[in-house]
Amino acid sequence: MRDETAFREFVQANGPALLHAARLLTGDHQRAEDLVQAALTKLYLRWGRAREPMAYTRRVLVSTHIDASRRRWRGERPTATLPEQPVPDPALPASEDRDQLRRMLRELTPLERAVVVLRYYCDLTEKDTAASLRIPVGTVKSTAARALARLRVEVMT
Amino acid sequence: MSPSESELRASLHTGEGDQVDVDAVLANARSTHRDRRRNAFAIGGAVAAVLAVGGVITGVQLGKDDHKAAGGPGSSQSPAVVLPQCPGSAPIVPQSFGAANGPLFPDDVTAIKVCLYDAERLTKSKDVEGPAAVSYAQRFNGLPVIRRAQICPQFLTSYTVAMLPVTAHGVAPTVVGKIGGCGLTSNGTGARNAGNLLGELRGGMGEPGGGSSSGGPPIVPSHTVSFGPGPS
Repeated sequence: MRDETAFREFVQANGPALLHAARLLTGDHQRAEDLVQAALTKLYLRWGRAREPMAYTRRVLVSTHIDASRRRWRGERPTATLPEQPVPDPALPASEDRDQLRRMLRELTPLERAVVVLRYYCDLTEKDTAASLRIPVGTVKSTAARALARLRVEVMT
Repeated sequence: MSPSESELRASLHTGEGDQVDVDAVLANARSTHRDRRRNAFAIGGAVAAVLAVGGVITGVQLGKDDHKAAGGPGSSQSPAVVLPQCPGSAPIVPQSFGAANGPLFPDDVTAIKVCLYDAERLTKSKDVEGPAAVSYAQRFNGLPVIRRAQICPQFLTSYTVAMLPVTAHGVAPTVVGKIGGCGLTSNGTGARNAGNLLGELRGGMGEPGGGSSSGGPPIVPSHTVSFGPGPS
């Protein structure tokens, strides 16, 4: 019998971080919720067998996101004008750069975004990031360097 | 000025704290789990059904094969004996000079294919099976052994009988005899004067019987040549 109490505690403790990571990956709250739902459902099915639940869920999260990004998305079409324009809060001028960074994050490739999120949000080592993405450590290093360079270039211009 | 790594980290942590609806996650996970189990059961059931149907079909097929092999319901016959075909032309009587005291037919004969030739042409054949074959084999083997070389005027007859004995182990050497003349019959290791028996076989095949008493080709005295010590 699956230990649902332990699973519930795990979701309560780690759900916010997973949801935020998913939001950083997708750039969309609704898609982030769907992504977390899918990852936690896979974890539920393996609950009791996954040795490191958090690492497993993170790996599912990024791989599901990258796989979904590879598939052509036909559900939405880009429009010339945005339906909602974000209104900057004048009381928080210090957050402007951060918001711009977050916007720039969406311009990265799915792999670059995943590396940035795992390295600088989840605080994983390069080795753990490589294990989560199932890519070589060297690829993590080069991808992270490229992503940071793009972010910096975008911020400076 | 480009942001530092710490600013990047701070930027990424901005806005976190939203809770995940645990109940929704659990409900969805349970539903997915149920669906998977249902699918697994459905697939397992389908596989089991296919195997069961296949097993029934195989069983029926095997039953049919057994039925055929047994020769039908209630049949007590032994499996059908596959008899050899008659040679296309009359075989010659195997040479039997010198060592002709063996039996013509093996003891465990189960069937005999009898082939009748007029000159070189195969005219009739007959399958003698079971006790009848054993009886004929014993009668042929029981004839006196030829202990003297014979010179038989075989040109007086044109009828040849070839007999192909079958045992449980296969086909034994062919026994060939001439109706008429001395009635010399041999399989290479045994020889008998079996004109009368050959005539009887021929008569059983709907042909006029041979032998001295049946009006067939005459059996004439052969010239005998002594070829060694032995009873005269």
